[in-house]
Amino acid sequence: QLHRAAAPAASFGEPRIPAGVPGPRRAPDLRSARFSGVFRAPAMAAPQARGLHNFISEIRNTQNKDAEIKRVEKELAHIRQKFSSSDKLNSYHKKKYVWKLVYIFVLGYDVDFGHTEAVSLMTSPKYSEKIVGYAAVALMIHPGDDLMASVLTAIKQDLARPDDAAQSLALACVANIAATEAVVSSVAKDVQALLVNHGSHPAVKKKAALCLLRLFRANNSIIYHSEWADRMSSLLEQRHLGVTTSAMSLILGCASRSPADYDALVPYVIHNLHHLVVNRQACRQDYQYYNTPSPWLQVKLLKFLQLYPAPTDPTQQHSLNTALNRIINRTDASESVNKSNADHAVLFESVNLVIHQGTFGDEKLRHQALNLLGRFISVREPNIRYIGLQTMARMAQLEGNERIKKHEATVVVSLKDGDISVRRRALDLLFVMCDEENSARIVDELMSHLMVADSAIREEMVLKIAIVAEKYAKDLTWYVENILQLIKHAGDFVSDDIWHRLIQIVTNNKAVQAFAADKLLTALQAQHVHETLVKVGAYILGEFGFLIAEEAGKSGEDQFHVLMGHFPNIGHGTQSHILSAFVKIANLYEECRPLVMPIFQRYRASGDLEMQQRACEYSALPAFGEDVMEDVLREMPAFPTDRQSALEKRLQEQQEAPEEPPVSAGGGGGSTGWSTKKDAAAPASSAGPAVVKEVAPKPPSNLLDLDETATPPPAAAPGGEVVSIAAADIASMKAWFNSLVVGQQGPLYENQTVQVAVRHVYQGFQARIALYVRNKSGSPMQDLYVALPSERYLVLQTASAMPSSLPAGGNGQMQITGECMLPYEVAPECTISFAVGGTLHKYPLRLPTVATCFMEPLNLQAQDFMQKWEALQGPERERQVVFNSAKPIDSTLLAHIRTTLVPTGLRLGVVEGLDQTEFTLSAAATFRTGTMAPNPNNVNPPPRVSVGCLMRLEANPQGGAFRLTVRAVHGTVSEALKNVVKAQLF
Amino acid sequence: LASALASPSSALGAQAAMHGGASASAASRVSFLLLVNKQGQTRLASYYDWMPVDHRVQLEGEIVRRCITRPPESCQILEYRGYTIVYRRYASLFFIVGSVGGFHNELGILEFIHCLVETLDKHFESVCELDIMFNLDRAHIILDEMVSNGAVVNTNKTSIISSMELLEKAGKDASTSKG
Repeated sequence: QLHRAAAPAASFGEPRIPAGVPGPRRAPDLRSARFSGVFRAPAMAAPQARGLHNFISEIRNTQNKDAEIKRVEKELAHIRQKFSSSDKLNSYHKKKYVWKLVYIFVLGYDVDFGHTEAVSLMTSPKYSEKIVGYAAVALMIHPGDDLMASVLTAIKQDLARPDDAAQSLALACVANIAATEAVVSSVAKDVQALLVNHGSHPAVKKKAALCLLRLFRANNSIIYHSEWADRMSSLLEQRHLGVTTSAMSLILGCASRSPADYDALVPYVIHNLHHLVVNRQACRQDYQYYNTPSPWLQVKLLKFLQLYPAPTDPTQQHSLNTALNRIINRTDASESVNKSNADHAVLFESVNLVIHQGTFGDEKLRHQALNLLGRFISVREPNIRYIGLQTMARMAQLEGNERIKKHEATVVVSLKDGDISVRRRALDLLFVMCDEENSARIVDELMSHLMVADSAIREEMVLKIAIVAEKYAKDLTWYVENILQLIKHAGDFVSDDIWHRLIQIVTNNKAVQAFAADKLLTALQAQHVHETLVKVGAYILGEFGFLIAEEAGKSGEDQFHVLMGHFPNIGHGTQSHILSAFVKIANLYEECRPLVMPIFQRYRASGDLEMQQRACEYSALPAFGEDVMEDVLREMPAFPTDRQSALEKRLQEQQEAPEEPPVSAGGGGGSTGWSTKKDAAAPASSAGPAVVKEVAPKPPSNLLDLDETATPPPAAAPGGEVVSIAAADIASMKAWFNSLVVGQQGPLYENQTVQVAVRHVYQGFQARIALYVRNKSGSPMQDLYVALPSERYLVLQTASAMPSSLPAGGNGQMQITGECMLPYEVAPECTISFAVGGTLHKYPLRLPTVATCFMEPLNLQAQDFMQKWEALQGPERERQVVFNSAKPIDSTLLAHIRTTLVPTGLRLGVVEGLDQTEFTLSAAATFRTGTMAPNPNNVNPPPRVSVGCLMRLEANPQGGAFRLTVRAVHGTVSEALKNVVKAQLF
Repeated sequence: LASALASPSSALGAQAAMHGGASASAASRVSFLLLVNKQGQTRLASYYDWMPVDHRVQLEGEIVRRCITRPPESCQILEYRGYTIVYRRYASLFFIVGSVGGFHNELGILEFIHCLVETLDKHFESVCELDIMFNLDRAHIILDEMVSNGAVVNTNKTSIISSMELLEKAGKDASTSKG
């Protein structure tokens, strides 16, 4: 039997390889004569591999790539001929040729034949043939292969065979091939049966667990969590460490999708961990790795626990903390690098767990873990330092930077490390470490490092400096100076987003406009500057140059000459920007017109279309008369405030009394068709006509969003012509949605083409929703249609329909009525589709009709609340989550939650007199549905089903975290309420 | 996809991932394992996510180039095209593991590589590059015993090697039957 072996290997003493290599960090353990001794005779090849052996030798001996390709092609032709000939190949040849194909495939050549032979080997009754077939299929077959059906048939047969070896091979193959729907549907049942069958050999169970995980990842519906949680606990009870190890992978995979369903496994996992760590003899010798009990299993157990809050049961708490304490405090430096790595793998995972538990875990352990981290980031061993920096950055994201700020100097050392990997981690950490207090120092540090940094990391550094400079700017001049420095020192790495953002901020903040214009004019006086600087300079001087034009040497004419000086050395795109700056200069300063007009004349025939168009339009502009001129060349309006970043908000708070714009333009008499700036300085209510509009950089979405995990834009529909939600809009959509959930009206979605807004009111289980659509595009909107979802839980009906077309700039609305019938978690989704100028648009949008909309506050006495709270215990009813607060937890926030968010926004009744401090809050509500309840007494109106729900929110201001616990008779209501509340505070 | 992104539930999911730990901690898994020599020739490769041949060749080439050029005192972890690469060098051979997902345990992977090498060594009795080349079949079988679906399944050398014994036996049967 293949897997019978595994007898305790008493003789497994000192492993051979690392014997000679204690001491130094990463000993190249096999150095010596082994791998370098290329000419040592290899271990005796199995007899059937003789032909393969020769072929490999020949490949090895080829002198160059061409010779290798030739040899491979020759062999492929040979094998192809053998396979297609009518002579039946015997087992030896078949195996040999298939192995050759595998070898060729691994070398990196496409092998598009021989798959049939591989499949036929799979079905052979002989193990020696089967194993070759399976290896070849697992490596070479691709998801769309024609042979997939035969492969699946062979696998199914082997799964059903009462033969551990065949079952193992089949399972390993499924675990490695792409899990298409066909694979999942044909083998899922068999795999599940093998995993739970008590008669299955441990080796089969091990493979079945991983195999099932693969199928589950492809199709979540194959596992009913409630059913599987039990089965998995019995897998954890097994004393077979191999089975536990692979079962843990499956459990991790499932639990991370649906943690609540697997919380019953927490005690088992804690027990297993305790067993491994504290009763070390429980781990058989052959599962120990350098005397560490199965480090990989420990890591998986610790990862699982990171899905849950710290246990509240005292026995479990004790058991877990004993194990963690042992790991954290008794991991010693070891002579063997392998032992040390294995121990640190476990140690880091324990630190992760302790950090994850936050203030709900053991305070002493947490303190020790933090100290350890502080030590790790200063050790010389680079792997430990790398992971230490990474872990610390993660910690900072979870709970703020208070405890790690003191390590700033240590981190800066790693920023200058010779190793790019370490530098990246240090940069990440410095970035999350920033706050108002240290940002100036960190930005200086990063800036001085930027000049010597290599190109691999510069782009990332530039982006991070730009974000930090904006986020923590105490005053805007600091921000402007930093961005200009970035352009100067690393111009090639300053993306469009960064300089667009600079312009957006300068445009929206009057206090900094003159400063920016002055800085740019000075910077542009250098002979060679980066092209990006010219772009920014052209825009800023065009818009705000007049603010400094009265100063000596900075007149309109001077500005013109400075820009003109760079004109010959730059690309058409930047030249176009300069043309736009020139037309603005010409508009303001009469004396510049003779300078500017000839340039427009010259480029009217430019080969570059953009240049040509601008030159033509600008030179023709005066002919349209004064009014048009004024309109067109007016100051650019401020950028829409919904694109505001944290920076701008902070700035507005600081500058309570904004200065009046200095309208002292030195234009002189505007006698000709040209108006002066003074005349045009009135704030523009609408943007000018298209001529100048195009000059404005497209307002980028908040730069800070760039740092979030970039969400790829939705895949284009077939044909690629349907416009949908842009990735950049998603952050704003989340914010709009969340504020709509607690508000009566507001925007749901907006882009350049369309704006969608909602107003919604609720009474009991009934909803009235108005949907507004505005056509923002310049063309008519046709085929406008709103598809409402048909959901059992929420019945929506159109009371008045949306017009099917809207003129440019037109508005339309529709009225929807709805009734909530069942508890639900996911907000209903409607789809708005229309066509503008031949392009189809389609936006799937969630309506803000979440479960709390159908809540009615319940005003309970403290005593009643506690009574109901106790009565609603149990995993089906309770949901709990610990999460970080979006804002610092202070009295203002807590008061807002207590007096506004919970009672008005979320429609829950706050229980008075129960909570002793402001840090906890209890509330209750009734969730109304329209479903009829049994009505034996014919009461009128008939009773409807409703669900009571209770909530407790505990704040931890030091950790910046909330713990939210929700209980309701109906688990779905708990889940929904939990999600809605969390979305508001997270 | 757009609808999923627009839905509040997925927004919560994203937040859960950002919350650190939670769902992301489990997502870490091995995407490929390579054994490549200093000349960039692949000696053993196992991909747990399907990838077309030309992509693999390119990926292997670039990763090896990066690993080779790193000074010996560097750490053994790097990030490349969304993969977290953990590698270990044994004389002229590089064992390279690429993982995807979040929150990997890099040291665990590093020692898993060594555990694999020790197992190969135990089976081949002082393994060398040629052993792996000429016995690709056995190397693959050992690897499949140890990694499945991108997760560590078995680190017990004795039981891994025992699975080889049956093959040896079957192999002998086959050769005798061939005559």
